[in-house]
Amino acid sequence: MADLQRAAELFPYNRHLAVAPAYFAIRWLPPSEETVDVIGAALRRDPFSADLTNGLALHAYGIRNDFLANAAWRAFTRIAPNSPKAAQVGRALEALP
Amino acid sequence: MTIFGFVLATIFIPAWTGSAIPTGWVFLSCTLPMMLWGKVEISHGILFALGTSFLAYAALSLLWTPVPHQGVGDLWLLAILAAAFTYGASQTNSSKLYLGLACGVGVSTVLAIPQYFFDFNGIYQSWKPAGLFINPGVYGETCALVLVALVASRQYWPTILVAPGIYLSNSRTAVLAVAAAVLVAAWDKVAALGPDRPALWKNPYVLSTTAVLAILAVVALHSTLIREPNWWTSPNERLAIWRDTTNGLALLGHGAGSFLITYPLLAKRTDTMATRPEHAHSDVLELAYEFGLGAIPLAILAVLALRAPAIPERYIFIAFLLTATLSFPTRLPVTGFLGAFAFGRCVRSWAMVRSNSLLSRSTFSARQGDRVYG
Repeated sequence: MADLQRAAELFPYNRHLAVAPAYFAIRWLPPSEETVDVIGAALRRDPFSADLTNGLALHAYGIRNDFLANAAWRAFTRIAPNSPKAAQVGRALEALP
Repeated sequence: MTIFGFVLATIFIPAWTGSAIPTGWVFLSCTLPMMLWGKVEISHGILFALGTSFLAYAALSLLWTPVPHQGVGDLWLLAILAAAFTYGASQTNSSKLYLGLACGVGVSTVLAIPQYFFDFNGIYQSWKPAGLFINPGVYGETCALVLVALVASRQYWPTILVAPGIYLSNSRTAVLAVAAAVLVAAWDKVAALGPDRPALWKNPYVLSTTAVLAILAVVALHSTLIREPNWWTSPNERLAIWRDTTNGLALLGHGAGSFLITYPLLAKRTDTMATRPEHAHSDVLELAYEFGLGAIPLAILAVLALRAPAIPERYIFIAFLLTATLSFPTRLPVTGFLGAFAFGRCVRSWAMVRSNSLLSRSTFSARQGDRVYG
């Protein structure tokens, strides 16, 4: 993880390198404040990425940051409207009180 | 030049020498400035103005691109291609470069044979057989451009290193690129015969071209109908990306590097959660999307390059242009370098022919003037 973060800082001009720490965090690390920060930083570099937005929502939900999770999932349904997952998330959001 | 071409085509070994950044770009960044040092004369003609105005607009677009970091990354690649263009314009004979590229791509062909027939997986590939190029489509397109370069520069034995790649890769874009170059070459030959040319059915150029096109058509049909049962999937995906991208075109463009970032916003026909296209699969469309009217100087240069005399690079450029309409050759080091190199050679040749014809016309006028007034 530290190596990936160093590479992303060293060469932020390539998307693969810049967002690699966030994908690592989504795939391998348990939700924490730190992973939410890492994914948030990657989203500033690639703001319309559907899987990063979904990852942020999952990790925010994992640390009980419901406000951020809700906002991220709403953004996700707008970014990837024709994804089957977006329809599922949309229905869940509508069911909220 | 032979070594340069060989190294360029072999320096990227997936997951060994490079991963996110194709090593070829790094190699070109280090070598091209040294190759250009002291050899380039900067002129101030209309061609220089067109080239620099496009590059200046591309740099200016960083002001409105959504993520400037991505824009800087894309401008870096554009600067390398501009250097390759300039290098091409300064060269006269490039046969050794094509030979080197053929030997380099030949290494991929040697790898592609066990990848295709024996499921060899020692080198990372997204689909088999890709040689050192990860993607079989990219491998096939590279083979097509190098094959055209070899035949156009009359080097026939190295074609055995690249021609099998077009069949093995199953790339229909590669077949179309070769067909386009063959058609234009035949047209040039027939036109050069003048008014006394024999009837079409007796003309050896027309007959040989028909034979080559028939072979290419058989390869394309075999690839489509027999080897790829779901052959419509890839064109369908491309059409969806093209239609989404066309819907997002803007007058001034969205800025350098904007396609990769903003595509999910446009994607009405693809699920970006499942697949995230990094390129529009049409460099022509991607340039129009990113730079809008700012790409017009580049389009004018391309039209001038198409009017170049019958040098080998004319046919490479035609094959490259067709590939750039259906795929993304400018985003890859080997095809990008070769295309930009041929582009530069064609524009330079057009300018030289034009200046010669203007010179001869002015000489004629002066002589005529002497006769009339002298």
